[in-house]
Amino acid sequence: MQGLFFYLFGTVAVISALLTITRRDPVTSAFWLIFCFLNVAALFATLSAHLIAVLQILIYAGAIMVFFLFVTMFLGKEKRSAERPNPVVFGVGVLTVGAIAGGLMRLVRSGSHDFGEVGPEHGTIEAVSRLLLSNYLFAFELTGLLLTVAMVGAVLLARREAKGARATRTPAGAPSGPAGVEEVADA
Amino acid sequence: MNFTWSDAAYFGPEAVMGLTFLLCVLGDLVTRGRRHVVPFGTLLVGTAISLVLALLHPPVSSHAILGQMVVVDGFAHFFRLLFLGITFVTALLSWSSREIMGRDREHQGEFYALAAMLCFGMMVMAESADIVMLALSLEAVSITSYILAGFARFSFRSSEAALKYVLWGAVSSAVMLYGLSLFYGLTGATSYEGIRAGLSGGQGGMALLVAILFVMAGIGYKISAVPFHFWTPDVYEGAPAPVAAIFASGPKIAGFALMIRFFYVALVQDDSQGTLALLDDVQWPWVLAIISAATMTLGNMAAIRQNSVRRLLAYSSIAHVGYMLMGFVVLSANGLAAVLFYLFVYAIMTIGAFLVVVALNNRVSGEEIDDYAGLGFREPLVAAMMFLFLISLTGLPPTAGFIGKFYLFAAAGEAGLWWLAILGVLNSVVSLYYYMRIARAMYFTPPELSGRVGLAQAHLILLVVLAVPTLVLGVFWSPLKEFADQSLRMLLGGG
Amino acid sequence: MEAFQQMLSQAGWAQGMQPWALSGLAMLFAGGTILGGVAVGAMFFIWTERKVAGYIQSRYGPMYVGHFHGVLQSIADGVKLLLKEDIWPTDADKFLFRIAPLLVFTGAFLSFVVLPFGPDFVGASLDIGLFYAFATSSLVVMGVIAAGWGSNNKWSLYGAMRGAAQVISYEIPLGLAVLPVVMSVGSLNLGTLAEAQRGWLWSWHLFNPIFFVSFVIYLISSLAEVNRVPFDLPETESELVSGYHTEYTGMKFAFFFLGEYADMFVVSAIAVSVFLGGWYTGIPAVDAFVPAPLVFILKSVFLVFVQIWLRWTLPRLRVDQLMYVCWKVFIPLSLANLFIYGLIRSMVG
Repeated sequence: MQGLFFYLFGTVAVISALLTITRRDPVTSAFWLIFCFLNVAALFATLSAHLIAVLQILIYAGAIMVFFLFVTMFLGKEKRSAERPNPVVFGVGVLTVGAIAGGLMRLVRSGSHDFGEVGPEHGTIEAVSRLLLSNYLFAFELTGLLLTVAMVGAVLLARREAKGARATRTPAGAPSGPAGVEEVADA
Repeated sequence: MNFTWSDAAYFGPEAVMGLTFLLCVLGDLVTRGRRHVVPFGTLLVGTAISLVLALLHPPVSSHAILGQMVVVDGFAHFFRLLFLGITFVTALLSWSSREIMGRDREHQGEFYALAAMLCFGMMVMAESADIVMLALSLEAVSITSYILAGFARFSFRSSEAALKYVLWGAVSSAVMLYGLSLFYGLTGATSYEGIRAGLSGGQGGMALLVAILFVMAGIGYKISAVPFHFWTPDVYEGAPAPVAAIFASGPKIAGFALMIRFFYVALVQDDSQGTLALLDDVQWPWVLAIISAATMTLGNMAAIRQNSVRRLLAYSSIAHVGYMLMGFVVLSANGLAAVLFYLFVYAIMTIGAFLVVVALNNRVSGEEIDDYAGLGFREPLVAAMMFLFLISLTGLPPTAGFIGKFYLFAAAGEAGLWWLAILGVLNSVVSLYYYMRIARAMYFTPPELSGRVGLAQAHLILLVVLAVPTLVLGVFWSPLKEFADQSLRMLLGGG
Repeated sequence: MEAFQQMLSQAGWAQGMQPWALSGLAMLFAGGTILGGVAVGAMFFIWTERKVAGYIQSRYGPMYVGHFHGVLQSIADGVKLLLKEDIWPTDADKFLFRIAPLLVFTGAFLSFVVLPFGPDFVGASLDIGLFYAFATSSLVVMGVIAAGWGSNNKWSLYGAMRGAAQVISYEIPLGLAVLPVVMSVGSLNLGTLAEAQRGWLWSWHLFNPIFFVSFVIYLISSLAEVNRVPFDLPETESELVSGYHTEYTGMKFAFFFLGEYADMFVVSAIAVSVFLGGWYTGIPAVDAFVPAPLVFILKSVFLVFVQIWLRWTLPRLRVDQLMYVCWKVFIPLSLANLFIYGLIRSMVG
């Protein structure tokens, strides 16, 4: 039963990944990518890695792809057809994929990298959180700092838009305050 | 679990810088972004405290701390001091930069916060002992860099630079992460030591080669080695000059530190006394030697055709990466010591050259070589300093650049890579041509305007401060060389 | 699902079947039961909505179909929708236009798997149940976006963008709000969370001051999560015609409709199992003989009723107010709440 599900979800994942890179409309591509993520999540679920499966859906399919689609929608319909891939680049890509696939196949066949069985605790939310707050505590905190700096940057870079919008909306004769005066002068 | 308070003693300088970042943001918030001296002062004080802490407690042996995620040893100590110095100097030189102030001085505070974060990230990069930390610290530095590149909010070029930086960075990070996942798949370990243990069987084969190449793509982007260098000239030109000065020194050096630790801990073993050997039959040093040759040649050839001083310096910085990679591929302690020595010297002279650009940028409209015409008559001191930095970048005696290059070429020759050493010498000769174009403009072209340019006092003082070690290290280089040797001892000897 | 499997293996006609066929059959049965329940339940809610709306607006609502207060109105509606012409806008993106209603409905439907209707009545007792329910609700966003983009219609697109922004934003306070409860129980399993509220009424999480704040945040955010008034910006019939499902007709529209009501039930059921004592009545003696699923469903239906009640009472917010409430009120508040709870716990132990 588990083998059946593995092949089912695996095949669908590979097919949707292929469709992702061959569709020319970015939104359609994005949806195929979401399907791919969902199937990968299902694969995780068949391995009893429920937490990773849910994270896959929640973060990748749910958050990242929604933002991606959001931005695509902002850009509008005109600019959305992608160019045909450069044959050289395409060839290099195919070769790289082939090399990786071949190398991994050989490794798996040779059986020299056996990781062994994992216990029932492995990958549960308790085990992951315990690890996150002990061994990986510093990495966890560094991620927090990373997000803070990204947020500072986003605010810093995005304020330009808000400012311009505000400056144009404020009537020239009626600045809304000391800040308004400067903006009108800037504009 | 493996997390104790005693770790804090070794991690003090980094913790202080992380805190400084938060305090800078907070200070800017509390003063509503009006009093830039608050974040500026916070950054300077934080950096100074961190520097003092680092100097007070130099690590005497290798300590794996914070759950074995980072290692504090002599190697980390060397880079720690270097990064703190870079941050201190670039913070000073950015204080009165026109580009950082922007039109309304509204966001100057954020600049200092970002600089603190950048320094923190770079220090962690040099200390990472786990591929999780490798990826995270690299990302911390990258994301901070993207923001800094786009810092000039009203400049079209700055935004363009940021965008190019982000696109290149995102792709190369993705490639690198995939490579790291292959490492994990091959060895089942995330720590460098674990990877070394897992690879000692020597069965990596094709997958290992791909993994190494992919990781190299991420690091190559950070140090701007060919063929991952395309973003460099545009970013250095588009980003504000003080930011370009940081980029040319800080993240690049951090990239080298990360690369040295990763490759020399995870992929190299010392068989017997002092000889380093590859763990696997994958000949990555050859790949890197070719990258090194391509990088220095391409950087120099492209630099010849540049008219913008900043683009010229950008291509020259690419060429310098090529030289330094030479010391990296020879698989010897001498080679690495030469790299460390050169990194130190390179930081000083590059920041010096960019400082001249920053100082002039506030006063002179353009940054073409022609705009520097007659500088030797109008500002003799500045021109003399620039000349000194250019000589040092070329690698002529009696400057520090000469000693650094000498060590690099000697290490390559020692390892039998004569073709690479000769290529390096030839490239240095080529570089003399374009560096001297700036010098010729400064001294042999009559100025269009007469009278002094009128530069900020602070910039002049800083220039002299940077010029002194450039000269002194050209004569008394042995203390720095010994320091570099000593820093490496724990990394290589400890195993 | 295990229960179904057990039932099947005891049934006479299923004797001698292969184990894989047995478990496959059990899956089909389990899925079918949930699907049937969702469809019937949603129909009931649609009827309720119309009756409540009528009552609040001092009119009758549906009265004729089915003779008694129009109880069969929803079935008539369903037949009508089935028979209606299936219209495709000329420039629609066929692929996206087609999958959108399916995504919305599937997202709502998948959440039912983890809802604990009783100690033994749960599709799959996942350790990460709560997390799973949030994750599947993000599929609904996908459907909304696909509908908005695929329809190739300005109003649909506006509706979809509002929907995406809103749902993504409100997922944060929604998740943060339940965290204190999760911290106290030490599990994300909805069944375990409900189990922790056994006993008298005051052992419900609702009656803990900190969890009460959580509950309020959760309740309001969940309204935004399912696009209900006062947060129905993606649909706003007064400005966007009908938002992202403007162009939909017939069965495809019916799927959106079913999905919305199923979603309302899901968020209510989660609230019931996290805050309102799950399948417990609050009086231990009564718990012994009242069937657990009945209690659970009644409580959930009550919360659905609250949502309907709010819809016909409150005016709609503006887009910026909606975002303001989320980012500047709920997120800081829920973070503070979480922090205070953590502080108390670490001090009290």
